[in-house]
Amino acid sequence: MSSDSLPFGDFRVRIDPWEVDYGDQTPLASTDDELNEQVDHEIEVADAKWETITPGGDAPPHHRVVFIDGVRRLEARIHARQGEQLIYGGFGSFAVGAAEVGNSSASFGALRVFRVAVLGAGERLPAPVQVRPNLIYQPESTPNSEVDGPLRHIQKSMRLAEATLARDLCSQNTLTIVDGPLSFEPERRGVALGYIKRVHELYLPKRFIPLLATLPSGARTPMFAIQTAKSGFARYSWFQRLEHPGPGATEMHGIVRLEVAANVGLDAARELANAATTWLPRTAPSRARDPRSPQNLLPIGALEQKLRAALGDARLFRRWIETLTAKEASRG
Amino acid sequence: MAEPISQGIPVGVVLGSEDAGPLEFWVGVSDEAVVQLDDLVVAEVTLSDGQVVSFFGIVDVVRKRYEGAQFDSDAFRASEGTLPVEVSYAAHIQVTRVDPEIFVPPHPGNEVRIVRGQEFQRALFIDRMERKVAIGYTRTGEPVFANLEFLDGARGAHASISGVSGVATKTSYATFLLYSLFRSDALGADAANTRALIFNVKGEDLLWLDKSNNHADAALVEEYRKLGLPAGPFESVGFFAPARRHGEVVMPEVGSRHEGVRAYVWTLREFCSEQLLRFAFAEANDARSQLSFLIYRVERVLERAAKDGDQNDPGVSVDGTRLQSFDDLVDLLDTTSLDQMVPTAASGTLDAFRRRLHAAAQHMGHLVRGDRETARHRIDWQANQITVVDIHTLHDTAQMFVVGVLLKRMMQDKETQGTSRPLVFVVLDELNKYAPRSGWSPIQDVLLDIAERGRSLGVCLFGAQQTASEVERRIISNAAMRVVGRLDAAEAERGEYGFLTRVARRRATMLSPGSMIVTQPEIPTPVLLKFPFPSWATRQSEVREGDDGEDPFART
Repeated sequence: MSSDSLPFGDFRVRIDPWEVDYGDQTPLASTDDELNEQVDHEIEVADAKWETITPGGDAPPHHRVVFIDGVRRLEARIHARQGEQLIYGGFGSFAVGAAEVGNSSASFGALRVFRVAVLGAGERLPAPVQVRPNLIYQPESTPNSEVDGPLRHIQKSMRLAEATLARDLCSQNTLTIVDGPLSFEPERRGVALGYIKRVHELYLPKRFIPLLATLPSGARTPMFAIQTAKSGFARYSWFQRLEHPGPGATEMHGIVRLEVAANVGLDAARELANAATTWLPRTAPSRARDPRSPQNLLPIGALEQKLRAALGDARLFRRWIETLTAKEASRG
Repeated sequence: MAEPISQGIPVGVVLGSEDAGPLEFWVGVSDEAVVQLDDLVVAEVTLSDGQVVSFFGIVDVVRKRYEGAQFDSDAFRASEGTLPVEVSYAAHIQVTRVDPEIFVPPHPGNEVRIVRGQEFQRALFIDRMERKVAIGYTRTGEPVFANLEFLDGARGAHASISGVSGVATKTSYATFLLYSLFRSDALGADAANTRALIFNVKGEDLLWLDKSNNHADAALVEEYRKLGLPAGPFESVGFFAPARRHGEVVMPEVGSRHEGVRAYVWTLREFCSEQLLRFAFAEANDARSQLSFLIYRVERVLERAAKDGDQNDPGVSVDGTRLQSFDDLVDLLDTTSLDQMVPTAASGTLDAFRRRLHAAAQHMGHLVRGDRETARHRIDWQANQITVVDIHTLHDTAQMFVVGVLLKRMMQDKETQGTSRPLVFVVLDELNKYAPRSGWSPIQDVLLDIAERGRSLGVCLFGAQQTASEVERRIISNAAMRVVGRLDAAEAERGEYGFLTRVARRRATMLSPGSMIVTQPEIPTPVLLKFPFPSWATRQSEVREGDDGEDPFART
């Protein structure tokens, strides 16, 4: 084989730098131009002028930035049989918290831990389950009767708790950055950004993929508006790149999407977009530090680590739950 | 000086991420609290039967680190403000006392307090000491005491002080210990008769012990007061300096201090009758050598000669030759008289003897005289509470001679008394010279005797040396109290300092003057102490004006 032969033929084959277990960093659901939601990509610039925007400066967007994130896990799956009915359920915990990044200082803020015992198929345990004197699981229920229903319920509860915390922390002079799409429309007192580190949805016509693929680091696309029926409010959104892909890495590497509620106004949104584009790359972790580098920003990664510590030792909890069910079983 | 029992300052909790044991545990320090090395803390555990066990301990390691951080670069990220981190501040506790002695581990999460006042005294067993003597204070100002029973022979005796010359302040500390012994009421009824014999080896530092220090300000007075001591000079001090080499009249060889210093010499008769010749040959030797035997024989001849004639006559006659000075003796032994004294000796041994005698005479000959003047210049170490013998102007050989002779006589006096009271404290620096690990010398014999029998005779040696590893093992091992000042890094690793913890060894290499690490039998861990600046003068310029009571010019 000669040295200049192409092993991949006509394909531009690149590797996804994320660790395999975390999945693909750009799992686009569909790249066809039939969009489920109404997107207007001409709110900032006209279609003809759609090109990358490289804002200058590197000041953080606001005096104080608060990152909100949550972690969750299932400690034990349970089967609850009632006569002929077999119900899937689980004991699980989730935690949400905040990391505050101010002028050259970063610290952890509020932290909330929840323990739930979920039953599927609309069933619910009669009372809180006290596994240890200070470890009590609150009974919850999900109509979903599938085997993963309880886990989905915990995931959903965590998202809700994140939103609640974000809303609680949203205040003057604070920019709240939540993990994932915005699920609430902040009121006048503060601004919240949704930070989507894994791009599922392109929202843009396919012809903009080359633009995304060549987006330099520290630059963004023009803003586009998402008029969505699902979450009930309009948003402005943009893509930006956190880190230039290394040699051989996918051209989609380091691309994230951000969104802000449209009620902040276009000018404020543009300001935010510019600030986020220049500032967020500075909080990106190195590849050695985080398997989801650079998307899993340092404050978020550190927060996740702290939240996991706050959840406690899952194996220990599981053993306690085992002891409890064993005791129950011995009673007949 | 009773202070109210304080509840101490809560500083954190026992960690559970590291093993907690009854002998050592880690403490997580709370956000606002400060815990530093040498702090004493207590953790309490309530057992299932309701009994409360207190774990007292000393902080020997403190550290901070980012919790959960895996990368060194996290520090940069955190200081930039992009990475939120939590700092874990923890202290390692070396347990000093478990009270009552139930050796369960403390419980992770138990509150830990810094102890002060009476609780501090409990942490170091000081509350159990019936008779105690102040030995310094911690860096936080808490007084620390030693059990007198380990210094006065009741349960132990002797202190060994090691450290680098110049920065270790060994002599200062030994002097402070003496001051604490004599100026507190530690000795009780024994105080009046207790004596101390100090050899002034370097400079004239110790020649001003009886004068107040003009640097003693209110703060220093307070430091002494906390230790239960007055701030002032020593009381009842006798100063002796070697007689000048030349001149009919016996005058002390002194530098800056002239008044109140008496000259010392030995009469030739004493030299003969007390068998002091061996101390003129004090350089390291071999007890089994021909030379030692020869010295012994000559001593016997001289001793017999000293029994003749008027016992008040400082000179002696040997074989009909009248000896008036040490040179006369040297001259006599240069002749065939020596051969007659030891007829069996080989000529080579005789030559060696003469050679060394000549060399010694050069340096110490002037300290042994036979004229009338001499008799009044004997060192009476019992006349004053403290006797300071200056040897710093003397050559090594003469220093050895003086130290050897005085210690031997002191031991003889004590033996004659046959009781362990009154007590005698001996302060001697440069022990490695007088009792080296290798070789043998007559002084080493006397020092070993003090180390091994001193306890029962009421003689306590405060020995100091740069390097304990070079001092006769049995002398070091007999010391109940072990003290180190600044140590050389290589020296600190020697086995002689096995009483230091790993951390204490490291710290010993960076101690500043005025700080010592002290180990005593009842406290299972070495404690870093400071001791106050002397309240007595250590040089002429420090003498407080108006404190020159004996200055003849003051009265004119």
